[in-house]
Amino acid sequence: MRYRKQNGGAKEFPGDRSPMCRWKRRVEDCVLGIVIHHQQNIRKKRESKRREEGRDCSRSMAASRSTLPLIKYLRVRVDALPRNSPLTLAPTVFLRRFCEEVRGSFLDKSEVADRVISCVKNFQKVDPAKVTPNAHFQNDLGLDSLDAVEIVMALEEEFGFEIPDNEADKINSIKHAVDFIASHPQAK
Amino acid sequence: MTSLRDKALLKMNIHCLGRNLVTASSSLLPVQLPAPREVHFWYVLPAEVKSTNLLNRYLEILSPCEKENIITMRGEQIRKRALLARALVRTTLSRYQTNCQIEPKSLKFRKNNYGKPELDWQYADDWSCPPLHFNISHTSSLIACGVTVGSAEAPFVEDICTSPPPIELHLVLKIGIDVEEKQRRLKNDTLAFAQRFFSPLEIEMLTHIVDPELRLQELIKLWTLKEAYVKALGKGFSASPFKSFTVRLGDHVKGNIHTPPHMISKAHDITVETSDELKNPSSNWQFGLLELAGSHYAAVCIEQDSIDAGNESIPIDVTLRKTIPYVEDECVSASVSAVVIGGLTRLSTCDY
Repeated sequence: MRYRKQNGGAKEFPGDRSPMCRWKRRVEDCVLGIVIHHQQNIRKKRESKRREEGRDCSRSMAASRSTLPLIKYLRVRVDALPRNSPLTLAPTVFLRRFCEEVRGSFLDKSEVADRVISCVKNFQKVDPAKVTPNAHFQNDLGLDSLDAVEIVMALEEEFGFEIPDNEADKINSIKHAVDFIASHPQAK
Repeated sequence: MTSLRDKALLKMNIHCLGRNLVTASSSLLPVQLPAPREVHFWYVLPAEVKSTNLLNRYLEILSPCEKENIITMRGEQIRKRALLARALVRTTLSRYQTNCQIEPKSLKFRKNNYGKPELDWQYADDWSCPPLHFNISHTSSLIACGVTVGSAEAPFVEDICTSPPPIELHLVLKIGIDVEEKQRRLKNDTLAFAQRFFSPLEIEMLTHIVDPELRLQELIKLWTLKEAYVKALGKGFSASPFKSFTVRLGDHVKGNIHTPPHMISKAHDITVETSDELKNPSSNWQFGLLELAGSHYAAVCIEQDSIDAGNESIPIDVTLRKTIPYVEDECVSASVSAVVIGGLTRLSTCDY
Protein backbone atom coordinates (compact mmCIF):
# COMPACT_ATOMS: atom_id res chain seq x y z
CA MET A 1 0.00 0.00 0.00
CA ARG A 2 1.41 3.38 -0.94
CA TYR A 3 -0.50 5.65 1.37
CA ARG A 4 -1.41 5.54 5.04
CA LYS A 5 -5.01 4.62 5.68
CA GLN A 6 -7.10 7.12 7.56
CA ASN A 7 -9.80 5.88 9.94
CA GLY A 8 -13.08 5.73 8.13
CA GLY A 9 -11.54 6.73 4.85
CA ALA A 10 -12.06 5.03 1.59
CA LYS A 11 -9.80 2.02 1.32
CA GLU A 12 -7.55 1.45 -1.64
CA PHE A 13 -6.97 -2.04 -2.85
CA PRO A 14 -3.41 -2.94 -3.85
CA GLY A 15 -2.86 -3.03 -7.56
CA ASP A 16 -5.96 -0.97 -8.21
CA ARG A 17 -5.46 0.25 -11.73
CA SER A 18 -8.73 2.02 -12.27
CA PRO A 19 -8.52 5.35 -14.14
CA MET A 20 -9.69 7.13 -10.99
CA CYS A 21 -6.78 5.75 -8.93
CA ARG A 22 -4.26 6.45 -11.67
CA TRP A 23 -5.52 10.01 -11.98
CA LYS A 24 -5.46 10.46 -8.23
CA ARG A 25 -1.86 9.22 -7.97
CA ARG A 26 -0.77 11.52 -10.81
CA VAL A 27 -2.31 14.56 -9.12
CA GLU A 28 -0.71 13.65 -5.81
CA ASP A 29 2.73 13.29 -7.45
CA CYS A 30 2.49 16.67 -9.09
CA VAL A 31 1.29 18.42 -5.96
CA LEU A 32 4.09 16.73 -4.04
CA GLY A 33 6.52 18.03 -6.64
CA ILE A 34 5.23 21.57 -6.16
CA VAL A 35 5.51 21.35 -2.39
CA ILE A 36 9.05 19.97 -2.49
CA HIS A 37 10.15 22.63 -4.97
CA HIS A 38 8.64 25.32 -2.77
CA GLN A 39 10.45 23.95 0.27
CA GLN A 40 13.76 23.92 -1.60
CA ASN A 41 13.27 27.56 -2.60
CA ILE A 42 12.58 28.55 1.00
CA ARG A 43 15.66 26.65 2.10
CA LYS A 44 17.84 28.36 -0.53
CA LYS A 45 16.57 31.80 0.42
CA ARG A 46 17.26 31.11 4.08
CA GLU A 47 20.78 29.90 3.29
CA SER A 48 21.63 32.92 1.20
CA LYS A 49 20.20 35.20 3.88
CA ARG A 50 22.29 33.46 6.51
CA ARG A 51 25.37 33.67 4.35
CA GLU A 52 24.85 37.40 4.02
CA GLU A 53 24.64 37.70 7.78
CA GLY A 54 27.98 35.96 7.94
CA ARG A 55 26.95 32.69 9.53
CA ASP A 56 28.66 29.40 8.77
CA CYS A 57 27.13 27.86 5.63
CA SER A 58 27.34 24.21 6.58
CA ARG A 59 25.78 24.86 9.95
CA SER A 60 22.80 26.61 8.39
CA MET A 61 22.27 23.88 5.82
CA ALA A 62 22.27 21.20 8.49
CA ALA A 63 19.94 23.29 10.63
CA SER A 64 17.52 23.92 7.79
CA ARG A 65 17.46 20.28 6.94
CA SER A 66 16.38 19.41 10.46
CA THR A 67 13.79 22.17 10.82
CA LEU A 68 12.02 21.48 7.54
CA PRO A 69 10.90 17.90 7.52
CA LEU A 70 10.12 16.69 4.07
CA ILE A 71 6.52 15.80 3.59
CA LYS A 72 6.55 12.18 2.59
CA TYR A 73 2.92 11.30 2.70
CA LEU A 74 0.07 13.20 1.23
CA ARG A 75 -3.63 12.61 0.86
CA VAL A 76 -5.50 14.52 -1.76
CA ARG A 77 -9.25 14.46 -1.98
CA VAL A 78 -10.38 14.06 -5.53
CA ASP A 79 -13.97 14.01 -6.68
CA ALA A 80 -14.86 11.82 -9.61
CA LEU A 81 -15.46 13.64 -12.85
CA PRO A 82 -17.99 12.46 -15.45
CA ARG A 83 -16.29 10.16 -17.91
CA ASN A 84 -16.95 12.19 -20.98
CA SER A 85 -16.12 15.54 -19.48
CA PRO A 86 -13.96 17.74 -21.73
CA LEU A 87 -11.83 18.61 -18.69
CA THR A 88 -10.34 15.13 -18.21
CA LEU A 89 -7.22 15.87 -20.28
CA ALA A 90 -6.71 19.60 -19.62
CA PRO A 91 -5.92 19.50 -15.83
CA THR A 92 -3.21 16.85 -16.40
CA VAL A 93 -1.49 19.03 -18.94
CA PHE A 94 -1.90 22.10 -16.74
CA LEU A 95 -0.51 20.46 -13.61
CA ARG A 96 2.38 18.67 -15.34
CA ARG A 97 4.00 22.00 -16.03
CA PHE A 98 4.65 22.43 -12.32
CA CYS A 99 6.44 19.13 -11.95
CA GLU A 100 10.13 19.45 -11.08
CA GLU A 101 11.54 17.32 -13.85
CA VAL A 102 9.69 19.10 -16.63
CA ARG A 103 10.47 22.69 -15.57
CA GLY A 104 14.29 22.33 -15.66
CA SER A 105 16.76 23.71 -13.12
CA PHE A 106 17.83 27.17 -14.33
CA LEU A 107 18.06 29.73 -11.56
CA ASP A 108 16.17 32.95 -11.61
CA LYS A 109 18.41 35.79 -12.90
CA SER A 110 17.61 38.33 -10.21
CA GLU A 111 18.32 35.76 -7.52
CA VAL A 112 21.65 34.96 -9.18
CA ALA A 113 22.49 38.68 -9.37
CA ASP A 114 21.80 39.14 -5.64
CA ARG A 115 23.95 36.18 -4.72
CA VAL A 116 26.82 37.18 -7.02
CA ILE A 117 26.80 40.73 -5.66
CA SER A 118 26.85 39.59 -2.05
CA CYS A 119 29.67 37.14 -2.89
CA VAL A 120 31.79 39.93 -4.39
CA LYS A 121 30.98 42.34 -1.56
CA ASN A 122 32.46 39.80 0.84
CA PHE A 123 35.89 40.39 -0.65
CA GLN A 124 38.06 42.41 1.71
CA LYS A 125 39.72 44.35 -1.10
CA VAL A 126 36.45 45.51 -2.55
CA ASP A 127 34.61 48.67 -1.57
CA PRO A 128 31.01 47.41 -1.14
CA ALA A 129 29.62 50.75 -2.30
CA LYS A 130 31.14 50.24 -5.75
CA VAL A 131 29.64 46.81 -6.34
CA THR A 132 26.81 47.49 -8.76
CA PRO A 133 25.21 45.09 -11.24
CA ASN A 134 27.36 46.60 -14.00
CA ALA A 135 30.66 46.76 -12.10
CA HIS A 136 33.78 45.68 -13.98
CA PHE A 137 36.27 43.82 -11.79
CA GLN A 138 39.37 45.58 -13.07
CA ASN A 139 38.13 49.01 -14.12
CA ASP A 140 35.60 49.68 -11.37
CA LEU A 141 36.65 47.52 -8.46
CA GLY A 142 40.42 47.64 -8.99
CA LEU A 143 40.91 43.87 -8.87
CA ASP A 144 43.80 42.08 -10.55
CA SER A 145 44.08 38.64 -12.13
CA LEU A 146 44.64 36.80 -8.84
CA ASP A 147 41.57 38.49 -7.33
CA ALA A 148 39.48 37.61 -10.37
CA VAL A 149 40.47 33.99 -9.98
CA GLU A 150 39.56 34.07 -6.29
CA ILE A 151 36.16 35.50 -7.19
CA VAL A 152 35.63 32.62 -9.62
CA MET A 153 36.44 30.20 -6.79
CA ALA A 154 34.00 31.94 -4.47
CA LEU A 155 31.27 31.79 -7.13
CA GLU A 156 31.91 28.09 -7.67
CA GLU A 157 31.47 27.54 -3.93
CA GLU A 158 28.31 29.62 -3.80
CA PHE A 159 26.63 27.98 -6.77
CA GLY A 160 27.99 24.50 -6.32
CA PHE A 161 29.51 23.79 -9.76
CA GLU A 162 32.91 24.09 -11.40
CA ILE A 163 33.38 26.90 -13.90
CA PRO A 164 35.62 25.74 -16.80
CA ASP A 165 38.81 27.77 -17.37
CA ASN A 166 37.84 29.07 -20.80
CA GLU A 167 34.64 30.51 -19.32
CA ALA A 168 36.39 31.79 -16.19
CA ASP A 169 38.68 33.79 -18.45
CA LYS A 170 35.72 35.77 -19.78
CA ILE A 171 34.15 36.55 -16.41
CA ASN A 172 35.52 40.02 -15.81
CA SER A 173 32.43 41.82 -14.55
CA ILE A 174 29.37 41.19 -12.39
CA LYS A 175 27.15 41.15 -15.46
CA HIS A 176 29.23 38.43 -17.16
CA ALA A 177 29.16 36.32 -14.02
CA VAL A 178 25.39 36.65 -13.66
CA ASP A 179 24.71 35.90 -17.34
CA PHE A 180 26.93 32.84 -17.28
CA ILE A 181 25.58 31.37 -14.07
CA ALA A 182 21.93 32.05 -14.91
CA SER A 183 22.34 30.15 -18.18
CA HIS A 184 24.11 27.19 -16.62
CA PRO A 185 21.80 24.32 -15.63
CA GLN A 186 24.21 22.94 -13.04
CA ALA A 187 24.08 26.08 -10.91
CA LYS A 188 22.37 25.44 -7.59
CA MET B 1 71.63 41.14 -34.18
CA THR B 2 74.94 42.68 -33.09
CA SER B 3 75.13 44.96 -36.13
CA LEU B 4 71.79 46.49 -35.25
CA ARG B 5 72.93 47.12 -31.72
CA ASP B 6 76.23 48.67 -32.79
CA LYS B 7 74.46 50.92 -35.24
CA ALA B 8 72.07 52.10 -32.58
CA LEU B 9 74.92 52.59 -30.11
CA LEU B 10 76.84 54.73 -32.55
CA LYS B 11 73.88 56.89 -33.37
CA MET B 12 72.98 57.19 -29.71
CA ASN B 13 76.43 58.42 -28.79
CA ILE B 14 76.21 61.20 -31.34
CA HIS B 15 72.69 61.96 -30.27
CA CYS B 16 73.62 62.11 -26.59
CA LEU B 17 76.40 64.56 -27.30
CA GLY B 18 73.86 66.85 -28.86
CA ARG B 19 71.47 66.43 -25.97
CA ASN B 20 73.94 67.28 -23.25
CA LEU B 21 74.22 70.80 -24.57
CA VAL B 22 70.53 71.38 -23.92
CA THR B 23 68.91 71.28 -20.48
CA ALA B 24 66.63 68.34 -20.92
CA SER B 25 65.47 67.70 -17.39
CA SER B 26 61.84 67.30 -18.32
CA SER B 27 62.19 65.36 -21.55
CA LEU B 28 62.92 61.72 -22.07
CA LEU B 29 66.53 60.67 -22.18
CA PRO B 30 67.25 58.01 -24.76
CA VAL B 31 68.26 54.55 -23.67
CA GLN B 32 70.34 51.84 -25.29
CA LEU B 33 68.51 48.93 -26.78
CA PRO B 34 68.47 45.70 -24.83
CA ALA B 35 70.92 43.11 -26.07
CA PRO B 36 69.59 39.72 -27.19
CA ARG B 37 68.58 37.74 -24.09
CA GLU B 38 68.59 40.94 -22.12
CA VAL B 39 65.45 42.23 -20.47
CA HIS B 40 64.97 45.82 -19.43
CA PHE B 41 62.66 45.91 -16.45
CA TRP B 42 61.18 49.33 -15.72
CA TYR B 43 58.95 50.02 -12.79
CA VAL B 44 57.15 52.93 -11.20
CA LEU B 45 55.68 53.28 -7.73
CA PRO B 46 52.29 55.07 -7.89
CA ALA B 47 52.77 56.36 -4.36
CA GLU B 48 55.74 58.43 -5.56
CA VAL B 49 53.79 60.19 -8.28
CA LYS B 50 51.74 62.93 -6.66
CA SER B 51 51.91 65.98 -8.87
CA THR B 52 48.67 66.72 -10.71
CA ASN B 53 50.62 68.54 -13.41
CA LEU B 54 52.65 65.45 -14.07
CA LEU B 55 49.54 63.28 -14.25
CA ASN B 56 48.00 65.71 -16.70
CA ARG B 57 51.14 65.53 -18.79
CA TYR B 58 50.78 61.76 -18.87
CA LEU B 59 47.18 62.09 -19.93
CA GLU B 60 48.25 64.24 -22.88
CA ILE B 61 50.45 61.57 -24.41
CA LEU B 62 47.74 58.92 -24.50
CA SER B 63 45.66 58.11 -27.53
CA PRO B 64 42.00 59.25 -27.51
CA CYS B 65 40.87 55.66 -27.02
CA GLU B 66 43.10 55.16 -24.00
CA LYS B 67 42.02 58.50 -22.54
CA GLU B 68 38.38 57.57 -22.82
CA ASN B 69 39.04 54.21 -21.25
CA ILE B 70 40.67 55.82 -18.26
CA ILE B 71 38.02 58.48 -17.79
CA THR B 72 35.29 55.84 -17.59
CA MET B 73 37.04 54.04 -14.74
CA ARG B 74 35.65 54.67 -11.32
CA GLY B 75 38.00 55.43 -8.47
CA GLU B 76 40.87 57.87 -8.38
CA GLN B 77 43.50 55.28 -7.49
CA ILE B 78 42.31 52.91 -10.20
CA ARG B 79 42.46 55.71 -12.79
CA LYS B 80 45.90 56.78 -11.61
CA ARG B 81 47.27 53.25 -11.91
CA ALA B 82 45.85 52.77 -15.39
CA LEU B 83 47.21 56.15 -16.45
CA LEU B 84 50.67 55.38 -15.08
CA ALA B 85 50.72 52.03 -16.83
CA ARG B 86 49.98 53.54 -20.25
CA ALA B 87 52.36 56.45 -19.66
CA LEU B 88 55.12 54.07 -18.59
CA VAL B 89 54.76 51.95 -21.72
CA ARG B 90 54.63 54.88 -24.12
CA THR B 91 57.48 56.86 -22.61
CA THR B 92 59.70 53.82 -22.15
CA LEU B 93 59.27 52.47 -25.66
CA SER B 94 59.79 55.86 -27.25
CA ARG B 95 63.16 56.17 -25.53
CA TYR B 96 64.55 53.26 -27.51
CA GLN B 97 63.90 54.95 -30.83
CA THR B 98 67.33 56.51 -30.78
CA ASN B 99 67.54 57.16 -34.50
CA CYS B 100 63.86 57.73 -35.12
CA GLN B 101 62.87 60.44 -32.65
CA ILE B 102 59.40 59.11 -32.08
CA GLU B 103 57.09 60.97 -29.76
CA PRO B 104 55.37 58.86 -27.08
CA LYS B 105 52.03 60.03 -28.36
CA SER B 106 52.67 58.75 -31.86
CA LEU B 107 53.25 55.14 -30.88
CA LYS B 108 50.49 52.86 -32.07
CA PHE B 109 49.44 49.72 -30.32
CA ARG B 110 47.25 46.85 -31.36
CA LYS B 111 46.08 43.62 -29.84
CA ASN B 112 46.79 40.19 -31.19
CA ASN B 113 43.95 37.74 -31.76
CA TYR B 114 43.87 36.86 -28.09
CA GLY B 115 43.94 40.39 -26.74
CA LYS B 116 47.65 40.71 -25.94
CA PRO B 117 48.87 44.29 -26.56
CA GLU B 118 51.72 44.72 -29.07
CA LEU B 119 53.54 47.55 -30.73
CA ASP B 120 52.12 48.15 -34.19
CA TRP B 121 54.90 48.55 -36.71
CA GLN B 122 52.71 49.30 -39.67
CA TYR B 123 53.07 52.98 -38.99
CA ALA B 124 56.80 53.10 -38.38
CA ASP B 125 58.40 55.13 -41.15
CA ASP B 126 61.95 54.05 -40.57
CA TRP B 127 62.51 50.32 -40.88
CA SER B 128 65.67 50.44 -38.85
CA CYS B 129 63.52 50.88 -35.77
CA PRO B 130 64.17 47.90 -33.53
CA PRO B 131 61.51 45.21 -33.13
CA LEU B 132 60.72 45.75 -29.46
CA HIS B 133 58.58 43.42 -27.44
CA PHE B 134 57.05 44.42 -24.15
CA ASN B 135 54.70 43.30 -21.42
CA ILE B 136 53.08 45.17 -18.52
CA SER B 137 51.97 44.11 -15.10
CA HIS B 138 50.49 46.10 -12.28
CA THR B 139 49.66 45.73 -8.64
CA SER B 140 48.24 48.46 -6.45
CA SER B 141 51.69 49.55 -5.31
CA LEU B 142 53.94 48.87 -8.31
CA ILE B 143 53.59 49.06 -12.08
CA ALA B 144 56.16 47.31 -14.23
CA CYS B 145 57.05 47.08 -17.88
CA GLY B 146 59.50 44.57 -19.32
CA VAL B 147 61.13 45.22 -22.68
CA THR B 148 63.19 42.97 -24.88
CA VAL B 149 64.29 43.11 -28.47
CA GLY B 150 63.32 40.56 -31.07
CA SER B 151 65.69 39.35 -33.70
CA ALA B 152 64.95 40.42 -37.26
CA GLU B 153 67.40 37.94 -38.75
CA ALA B 154 66.38 34.74 -37.03
CA PRO B 155 63.89 32.40 -38.71
CA PHE B 156 60.35 33.60 -38.47
CA VAL B 157 57.91 31.54 -36.47
CA GLU B 158 54.35 32.62 -37.01
CA ASP B 159 51.21 31.77 -35.17
CA ILE B 160 48.92 30.49 -37.88
CA CYS B 161 45.94 32.24 -36.38
CA THR B 162 47.27 35.76 -36.95
CA SER B 163 47.10 37.37 -40.34
CA PRO B 164 49.86 39.94 -40.50
CA PRO B 165 50.01 42.77 -43.06
CA PRO B 166 52.37 42.12 -46.02
CA ILE B 167 55.41 44.02 -44.72
CA GLU B 168 56.18 43.44 -41.08
CA LEU B 169 59.13 42.88 -38.81
CA HIS B 170 58.69 39.42 -37.38
CA LEU B 171 59.24 39.10 -33.67
CA VAL B 172 60.80 35.91 -32.45
CA LEU B 173 61.32 36.56 -28.78
CA LYS B 174 58.31 36.83 -26.53
CA ILE B 175 58.24 38.28 -23.06
CA GLY B 176 55.84 38.03 -20.17
CA ILE B 177 56.15 39.57 -16.72
CA ASP B 178 54.10 39.54 -13.57
CA VAL B 179 54.48 41.28 -10.24
CA GLU B 180 52.73 40.52 -6.99
CA GLU B 181 52.98 41.83 -3.46
CA LYS B 182 54.89 39.52 -1.16
CA GLN B 183 52.52 40.13 1.71
CA ARG B 184 49.43 39.36 -0.29
CA ARG B 185 46.68 37.51 1.53
CA LEU B 186 44.46 35.00 -0.17
CA LYS B 187 40.77 34.84 0.64
CA ASN B 188 40.79 31.07 0.26
CA ASP B 189 42.94 28.50 2.00
CA THR B 190 46.33 28.13 0.27
CA LEU B 191 46.02 24.44 -0.49
CA ALA B 192 42.41 24.72 -1.63
CA PHE B 193 43.48 27.44 -4.06
CA ALA B 194 46.39 25.36 -5.31
CA GLN B 195 44.21 22.31 -5.75
CA ARG B 196 41.79 24.26 -7.89
CA PHE B 197 44.32 25.92 -10.19
CA PHE B 198 47.75 24.32 -10.03
CA SER B 199 49.10 21.13 -11.54
CA PRO B 200 49.46 17.93 -9.46
CA LEU B 201 53.26 18.23 -9.09
CA GLU B 202 52.98 21.78 -7.88
CA ILE B 203 50.26 20.85 -5.39
CA GLU B 204 52.52 18.09 -4.11
CA MET B 205 55.41 20.53 -3.69
CA LEU B 206 53.22 22.96 -1.78
CA THR B 207 51.76 20.25 0.41
CA HIS B 208 55.23 19.33 1.60
CA ILE B 209 55.75 22.82 3.02
CA VAL B 210 54.60 22.81 6.61
CA ASP B 211 54.78 26.48 7.57
CA PRO B 212 51.64 28.24 6.24
CA GLU B 213 53.40 31.59 5.70
CA LEU B 214 56.15 29.96 3.69
CA ARG B 215 53.59 27.99 1.74
CA LEU B 216 51.73 31.16 0.82
CA GLN B 217 54.96 32.80 -0.32
CA GLU B 218 55.83 29.82 -2.51
CA LEU B 219 52.32 29.89 -3.93
CA ILE B 220 52.66 33.55 -4.81
CA LYS B 221 56.03 32.89 -6.46
CA LEU B 222 54.54 30.05 -8.48
CA TRP B 223 51.61 32.20 -9.42
CA THR B 224 53.81 35.02 -10.74
CA LEU B 225 55.89 32.57 -12.78
CA LYS B 226 52.85 30.86 -14.25
CA GLU B 227 51.19 34.16 -15.04
CA ALA B 228 54.40 35.44 -16.70
CA TYR B 229 54.52 32.30 -18.85
CA VAL B 230 50.90 32.61 -19.95
CA LYS B 231 51.36 36.28 -20.73
CA ALA B 232 54.49 35.50 -22.73
CA LEU B 233 52.58 32.91 -24.74
CA GLY B 234 50.05 35.63 -25.44
CA LYS B 235 47.02 33.42 -25.91
CA GLY B 236 45.16 34.07 -22.69
CA PHE B 237 44.38 32.10 -19.59
CA SER B 238 42.03 29.73 -21.38
CA ALA B 239 44.54 28.60 -24.03
CA SER B 240 47.01 27.45 -21.41
CA PRO B 241 45.07 26.71 -18.24
CA PHE B 242 47.27 26.75 -15.19
CA LYS B 243 46.62 23.08 -14.58
CA SER B 244 48.12 22.11 -17.93
CA PHE B 245 51.73 23.02 -17.14
CA THR B 246 54.10 22.66 -14.22
CA VAL B 247 56.70 25.19 -13.16
CA ARG B 248 59.57 23.80 -11.15
CA LEU B 249 61.36 26.25 -8.93
CA GLY B 250 64.68 24.50 -8.57
CA ASP B 251 67.00 25.31 -5.68
CA HIS B 252 66.85 28.77 -4.28
CA VAL B 253 69.77 31.11 -4.69
CA LYS B 254 70.53 32.08 -1.12
CA GLY B 255 72.01 35.30 0.13
CA ASN B 256 71.77 38.89 -0.97
CA ILE B 257 74.94 39.11 -3.01
CA HIS B 258 74.96 39.25 -6.76
CA THR B 259 75.96 35.74 -7.69
CA PRO B 260 78.89 35.57 -10.10
CA PRO B 261 78.06 33.82 -13.38
CA HIS B 262 80.15 30.74 -12.73
CA MET B 263 78.23 30.04 -9.55
CA ILE B 264 74.85 29.93 -11.23
CA SER B 265 74.34 26.29 -11.93
CA LYS B 266 71.54 24.42 -13.59
CA ALA B 267 70.23 23.54 -10.15
CA HIS B 268 68.98 27.10 -9.82
CA ASP B 269 67.05 26.97 -13.00
CA ILE B 270 63.31 27.41 -13.14
CA THR B 271 61.78 25.17 -15.75
CA VAL B 272 58.36 24.60 -17.19
CA GLU B 273 56.87 21.32 -18.35
CA THR B 274 53.83 21.42 -20.54
CA SER B 275 51.44 18.63 -21.37
CA ASP B 276 51.60 19.65 -25.01
CA GLU B 277 55.30 19.52 -25.84
CA LEU B 278 54.83 19.84 -29.58
CA LYS B 279 53.08 23.19 -29.48
CA ASN B 280 55.15 24.83 -26.77
CA PRO B 281 58.45 23.02 -26.30
CA SER B 282 59.51 23.62 -22.75
CA SER B 283 63.20 24.02 -23.59
CA ASN B 284 62.49 27.32 -25.32
CA TRP B 285 61.41 29.15 -22.19
CA GLN B 286 63.56 30.85 -19.61
CA PHE B 287 62.46 32.33 -16.31
CA GLY B 288 63.76 34.77 -13.78
CA LEU B 289 62.33 35.55 -10.36
CA LEU B 290 63.27 38.72 -8.52
CA GLU B 291 62.43 40.28 -5.20
CA LEU B 292 61.98 44.05 -5.49
CA ALA B 293 62.37 46.44 -2.58
CA GLY B 294 61.65 43.60 -0.19
CA SER B 295 57.97 43.96 -0.95
CA HIS B 296 57.26 42.48 -4.37
CA TYR B 297 57.97 39.37 -6.37
CA ALA B 298 58.59 39.93 -10.06
CA ALA B 299 58.69 37.10 -12.56
CA VAL B 300 60.11 37.41 -16.05
CA CYS B 301 59.63 34.83 -18.78
CA ILE B 302 61.19 34.96 -22.22
CA GLU B 303 61.16 32.66 -25.18
CA GLN B 304 64.59 31.77 -26.44
CA ASP B 305 65.73 32.17 -29.97
CA SER B 306 65.41 28.70 -31.49
CA ILE B 307 69.06 28.84 -32.57
CA ASP B 308 70.16 29.04 -28.95
CA ALA B 309 67.68 26.52 -27.66
CA GLY B 310 70.30 23.87 -27.10
CA ASN B 311 72.51 26.09 -24.96
CA GLU B 312 70.47 26.38 -21.80
CA SER B 313 73.07 27.58 -19.36
CA ILE B 314 73.29 31.16 -20.60
CA PRO B 315 71.51 33.32 -18.04
CA ILE B 316 69.10 36.14 -18.79
CA ASP B 317 70.50 39.59 -18.01
CA VAL B 318 67.98 41.85 -16.36
CA THR B 319 68.55 45.59 -16.17
CA LEU B 320 66.38 47.05 -13.46
CA ARG B 321 65.30 50.69 -13.53
CA LYS B 322 62.99 52.50 -11.16
CA THR B 323 61.50 55.44 -12.97
CA ILE B 324 59.11 58.33 -12.91
CA PRO B 325 58.52 59.23 -16.56
CA TYR B 326 59.70 62.75 -17.43
CA VAL B 327 61.24 63.15 -14.00
CA GLU B 328 63.97 60.68 -13.17
CA ASP B 329 65.39 57.20 -13.61
CA GLU B 330 67.30 55.21 -11.12
CA CYS B 331 69.28 52.18 -12.08
CA VAL B 332 68.75 49.54 -9.42
CA SER B 333 71.61 47.14 -9.04
CA ALA B 334 71.79 43.97 -7.02
CA SER B 335 71.44 44.98 -3.40
CA VAL B 336 68.94 44.73 -0.59
CA SER B 337 66.36 46.37 -2.80
CA ALA B 338 66.73 43.92 -5.69
CA VAL B 339 67.60 40.27 -5.39
CA VAL B 340 67.45 37.41 -7.82
CA ILE B 341 65.70 34.57 -6.05
CA GLY B 342 65.23 32.07 -8.82
CA GLY B 343 66.07 31.15 -12.36
CA LEU B 344 69.18 31.59 -14.46
CA THR B 345 69.16 35.35 -14.18
CA ARG B 346 71.67 38.07 -13.45
CA LEU B 347 71.09 41.66 -12.54
CA SER B 348 73.23 43.84 -14.77
CA THR B 349 74.31 47.41 -14.42
CA CYS B 350 72.80 49.96 -16.75
CA ASP B 351 74.80 51.44 -19.62
CA TYR B 352 73.05 54.55 -20.71
